[in-house]
Amino acid sequence: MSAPLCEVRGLEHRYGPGCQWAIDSLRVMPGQAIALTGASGSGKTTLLEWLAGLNHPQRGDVDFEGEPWRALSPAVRQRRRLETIGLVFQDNALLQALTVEENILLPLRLLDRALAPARRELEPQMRRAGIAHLAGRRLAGLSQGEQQRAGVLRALQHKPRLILADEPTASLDAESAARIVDLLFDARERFGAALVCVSHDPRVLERFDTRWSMEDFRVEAQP
Amino acid sequence: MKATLWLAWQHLRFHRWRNLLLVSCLALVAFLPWLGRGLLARYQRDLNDRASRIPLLVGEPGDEFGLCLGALFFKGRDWRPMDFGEVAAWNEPGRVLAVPLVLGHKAASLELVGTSLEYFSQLGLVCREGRLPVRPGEVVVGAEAARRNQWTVGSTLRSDPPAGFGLQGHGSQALTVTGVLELSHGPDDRVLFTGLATGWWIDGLLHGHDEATRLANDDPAQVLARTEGSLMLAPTVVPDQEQATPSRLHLHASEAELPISCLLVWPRDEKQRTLIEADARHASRLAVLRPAEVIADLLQEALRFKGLIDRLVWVLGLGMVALFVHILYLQARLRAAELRTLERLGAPPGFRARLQGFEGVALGGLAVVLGVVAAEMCLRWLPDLVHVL
Repeated sequence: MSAPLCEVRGLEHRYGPGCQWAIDSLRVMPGQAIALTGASGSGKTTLLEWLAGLNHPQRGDVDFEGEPWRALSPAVRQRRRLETIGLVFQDNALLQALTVEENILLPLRLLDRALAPARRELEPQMRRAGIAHLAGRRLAGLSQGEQQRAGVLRALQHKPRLILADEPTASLDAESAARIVDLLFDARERFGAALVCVSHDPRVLERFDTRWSMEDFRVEAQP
Repeated sequence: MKATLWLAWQHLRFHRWRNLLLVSCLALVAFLPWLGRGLLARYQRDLNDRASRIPLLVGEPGDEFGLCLGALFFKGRDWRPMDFGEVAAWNEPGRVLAVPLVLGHKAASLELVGTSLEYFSQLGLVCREGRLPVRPGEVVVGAEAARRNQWTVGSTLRSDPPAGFGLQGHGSQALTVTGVLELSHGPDDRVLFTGLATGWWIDGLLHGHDEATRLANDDPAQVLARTEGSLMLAPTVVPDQEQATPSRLHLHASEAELPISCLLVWPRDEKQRTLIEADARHASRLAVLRPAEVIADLLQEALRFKGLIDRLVWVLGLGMVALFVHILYLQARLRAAELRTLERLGAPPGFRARLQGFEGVALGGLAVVLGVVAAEMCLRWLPDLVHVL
């Protein structure tokens, strides 16, 4: 059995009255596709942030590739996230000063990688996502779905080993939602990335092999 | 580092109009003090340069600053005249050269300076075209005055009439341009020069007319008064320009009593200068000034004021820097979500500070460079700006 990509051990965290996380053990295996569900405010986004090393729980550890995030220096932690994790934000969080293509290639630019080959690879991906015609456009005038697709492509350009997507299909029509999930699963297949996706959409959920349900700040694995 | 610079550039470019406005405001704050400093330095240099070229100035005692500024820079003032006879008293060939100035007249609203030909040789003024004035009614004009009024050799103009009605004076006299001086970048560029006689002629002290008895006989109606040995004729009987020839101009008094405004004195050497000053202190009732020292005193006063202005500029500058930092802070708040995204993606620690630092330095640096370059260009391409202001 291969080593887990990401592992939560003995996590405890208290946040105000009534918000108390307690997760004994949770593992994300390479290539695994996990859907994370739960009511609003149940802590899904917080859990994603712990998995990405953006925050740390008060007790317990979240390991990534065998090392606790907490043990890494800020510089190493940032670099590791940049190299190995693809983040899809609920609000897509694109930079308005950049074009769609520049936004998508931003992680590669931050990694100081060559952009010319990436641009060549990007073109078919943008076509598949239905936003090839928007490559040179800035954000003004783009629909929510178009921006979200650009946000998903941005998370995939550096071929991450873990993709964390926070409600990427929220407030999108069925066609746009399907395209976005296609993009995520396509990446999973192309470079074997594990995928953890927060969603409430049943059409999305049915495509995942594992489901984590968050209730009362506890995670229940549902096969 | 490369990504940070690139992102800073993209952000600056995207908000180019907003940034242009900010840079323009900041540039203005850099431009004005820099220009003021440059103008003041040039003003000081011009004053010192002019003053250093005229070793001694002799005039009626009183306001030393006024006398110096009036004689060296032709700044209008009410002159208390001294006698032309002083020129002979001061002039000692081989030891001292005294050049008289007759000031207080104007033509085309420019100062009309009456002087002798030595003035031009002593100050190295030469004609770009034409020749120096040798006859009454002839003027040579400074380069800048000629350019502004489009005067060339042969142009005619009239002296400005005196402010009040003068029984004695002829009022406005016709003048002919005989020459245009080379540009000297000094006060001589903006005035007109004539011979001494022209000033007196304008004042009605010299006049040129036919023999009075013949004129009275030709037209008795123009006789205003007739007493024994004297005849008073109406001014209209005496044509001005045609009659103003050296052979006809004359004076009904002693030449030594004709008025001059001041004397510029060039001793042969420093020793002569000291002797002249010592003699003058005991023997002359006139003020003998070293223009360089008077101007230095004047500048001392101006520098005190400049110190105050400098402090105000510092306060203004600090205020602008504070405002600029505040604007950067507000910009950072506006794009907080974007900056947070970059950090969440994995931008290295300190990325946000570096990014905003680059942008601040770029905007501030560009503003300072623009302000300084614009000020330097003004100083370079508008050398007479200080006189215009």
